[in-house]
Amino acid sequence: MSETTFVKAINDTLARMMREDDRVIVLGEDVAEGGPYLATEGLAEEFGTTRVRGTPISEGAVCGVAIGAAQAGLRPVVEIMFIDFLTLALDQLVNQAAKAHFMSGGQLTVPLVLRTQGGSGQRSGAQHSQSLEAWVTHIPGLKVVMPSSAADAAGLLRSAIADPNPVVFVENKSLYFRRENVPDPPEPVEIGRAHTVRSGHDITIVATSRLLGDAVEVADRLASEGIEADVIDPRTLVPLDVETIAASVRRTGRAVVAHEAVTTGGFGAEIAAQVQDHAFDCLEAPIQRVGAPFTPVPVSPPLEDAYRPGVEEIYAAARVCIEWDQPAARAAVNMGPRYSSDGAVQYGLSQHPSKIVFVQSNVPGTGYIAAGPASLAKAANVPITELTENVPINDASSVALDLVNKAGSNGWVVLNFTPPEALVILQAAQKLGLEDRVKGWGCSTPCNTDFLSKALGPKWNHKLFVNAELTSADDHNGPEMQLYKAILAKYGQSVAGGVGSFSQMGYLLAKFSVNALQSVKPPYTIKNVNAAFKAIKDQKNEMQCQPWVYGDYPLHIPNNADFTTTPDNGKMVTAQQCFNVSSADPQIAQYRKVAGTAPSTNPPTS
Amino acid sequence: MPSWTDVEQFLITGLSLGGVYALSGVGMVVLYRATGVLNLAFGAVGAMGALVAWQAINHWGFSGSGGFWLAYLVAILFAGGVTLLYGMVFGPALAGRDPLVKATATLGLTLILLGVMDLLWPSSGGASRALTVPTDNNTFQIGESSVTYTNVIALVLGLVITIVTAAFLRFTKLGTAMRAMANDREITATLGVPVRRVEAAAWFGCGVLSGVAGVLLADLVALDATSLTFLVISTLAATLIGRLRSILITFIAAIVIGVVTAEVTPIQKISNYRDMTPFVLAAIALLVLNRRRVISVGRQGV
Repeated sequence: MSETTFVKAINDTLARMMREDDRVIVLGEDVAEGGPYLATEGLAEEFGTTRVRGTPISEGAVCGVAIGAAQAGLRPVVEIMFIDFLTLALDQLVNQAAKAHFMSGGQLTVPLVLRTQGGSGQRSGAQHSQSLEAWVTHIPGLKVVMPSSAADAAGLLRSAIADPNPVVFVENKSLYFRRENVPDPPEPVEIGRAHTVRSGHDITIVATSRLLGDAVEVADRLASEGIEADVIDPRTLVPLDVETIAASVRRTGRAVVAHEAVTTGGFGAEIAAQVQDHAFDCLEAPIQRVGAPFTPVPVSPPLEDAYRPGVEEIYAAARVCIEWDQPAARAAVNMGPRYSSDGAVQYGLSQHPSKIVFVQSNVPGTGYIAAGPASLAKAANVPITELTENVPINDASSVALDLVNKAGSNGWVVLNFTPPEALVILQAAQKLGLEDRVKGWGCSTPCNTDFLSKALGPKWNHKLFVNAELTSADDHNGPEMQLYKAILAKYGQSVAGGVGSFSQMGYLLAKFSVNALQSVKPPYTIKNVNAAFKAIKDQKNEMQCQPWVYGDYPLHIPNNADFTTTPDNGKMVTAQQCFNVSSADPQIAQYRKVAGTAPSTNPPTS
Repeated sequence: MPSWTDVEQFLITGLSLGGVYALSGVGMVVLYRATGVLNLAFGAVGAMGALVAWQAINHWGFSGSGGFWLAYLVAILFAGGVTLLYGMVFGPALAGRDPLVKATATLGLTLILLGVMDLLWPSSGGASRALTVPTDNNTFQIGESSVTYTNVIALVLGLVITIVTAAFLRFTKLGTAMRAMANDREITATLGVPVRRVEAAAWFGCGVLSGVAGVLLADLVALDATSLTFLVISTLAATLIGRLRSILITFIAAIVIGVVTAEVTPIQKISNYRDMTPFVLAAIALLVLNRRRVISVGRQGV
């Protein structure tokens, strides 16, 4: 073994083959001077410029000359400096080299090796960084090899030069100067034989060229998480060693295919198709492809780095594959503030306003939340205007004015904001005397907090109606509420939100979680902890309208019966006892359909 | 389209906000003219001043009408003091540096103050505070809109400070010294002007104005460290339109920014983009002003 680099291994193999066989010649742009990456350095000095021939910049002509020389008995190795310019040689390669043997009835052979290199990462721009190997894999008559290590490069180059047919030899410039140990002399590597670089039984990662190293790194990371990956380097794309890859997938049931080329139309698609042809019954998850986005390689360094697929992309794809059939490992989806907004709008609708104005923060996901109130308003045949406001709000007076103007004197304004933003709007409305300019105001559950009621003056008494997912902390004082307040006072002094829906919900969920975990017999595993959480049901508490359940449902809205509270001289008091949030919201209807309407501990009043 | 009533209502909120922007803008221009420093910490200092006032009212027993005003005075003096301290400690070291370096250095103060505010008055978990000026409760009607005296104070104060500052710079010795220093600090120093003292006055004045703006904005906008700190950006647009020189143009630009931002609010299609108003106006103004400058330079060339 001796230490060398990828490009030196190529250089040594060329020299060795030229020494062994006089028919081997090298031609291409600048090859006599060593080429841009020194792959042919020193060859002209040793073998002369007749055998190491620099050519004009005309890829088509160079390729044509090489084909003629090959047919005449030589073994030319052509260098196309960048794979991007293979386009100029494609006519000769595709229509002449690939076809000659077939069209001459076997009389002609073209023992030609076309060496070229691609790949991004060198800040070389869109025309010197592409990975175009998939183009030539589509041509019957061409073999395509793509080594990922110096040892394979040397071994495959030997086999390629010895091959009687045209071989396209695709290198990656990012690999050129990595140091590694190679056998001396290099051992020939059979064309069409994949290499299993690392063995595992949970997932197969097939990676070509530069991405092989990244795949091995991902396998190490997965191993630290208890997942063992098979990592396979096909080494030759045509002919592809399908059997090795398919055998691995039959064992693991999951596959990720990674290459540097753009995913669309990339060779990964062919590998994926072949795998599903040969191992469909064994697949436990869709095959994931990793490649570059469908865009030219950017010239901006940060964009190029973002463009290049690598460790993170392969890891993410592997996780998708592994977690595909393990929904228990994923959290069930909550409705966020949608059902509380529903509740606030529902109370407003019960007061028969002429219009609802629903406003919330201008953040992603607002469309989903607004769909709930919109469906309730539609069912009640009351017009609704949905608005969003950028946060933090810098011109609350204008916002408050706008809301009131849009709602009209018989309208109802419903806010869905965090307490500080809601407070800012309500206070601005108060300063401008707007609180009485509409029929009423509503707010989703974040407003159900003690400091909001303290900060709002008596003008808001029974004017603002807040949907409360849990009982109002001010006019309930059962043992559970006392415990929650005591815990908050002792341990939650930095919980700046104070007493209110948010910290109440935190208290309750912590309690349910503790109950669930106490039911698990150690050691704790993902499986038994998940099972314990799924089994949570019938958890009753004086703060809730209905028992809490997780279960194994596709969506998660265990708390769908709420209260309405209103400020009353610095306190939040109950304005409406438990009521079921309306099934006019299709999400609520869907949840009740699968989970049923839980029996209420505090019977709904409407 | 919005009706005249809408326009009138939003004009009032816009004018009062514009007035505070103007107040802030004038403070920033004065400091820039005297020291060459674009004070990006203006908002943060004002925010901290407002929080100090909140602390005084809610926890130090500054209650009652007199207590309120005393708390605001403390806030304003605090803001003046912090700015003066910064100017005295870092001003001399930064005096010879590039304007960009000077401006960036004030970002350091901004970040420190933001950190301190978050430590002393945490806003995590949805905590909220409010600072209300007593004049909020006194209102009168213009058409269908009620106007608080705070709105009036904001606008009038903006106007008064602009006029007083312009007069101060033009007619007083200290003002003349400030203008001279803006022109050439070294020559002014060799002529016997006490540079350090003049700079101190500029820093203190700027700080006092940031305190006043902080208290008013805490009432008109929100008592939130982050919001108030970054409101300086709207002000910055006004000062840029005034090219960091003209107090009058800064005042007008600030009022226009406040009014346009408010008037856009009811127009639902573009309402969410109204935060861009200061920059759009600044970009247009700079393009137009630059064009005139290019033309005049061209004529000189001919």
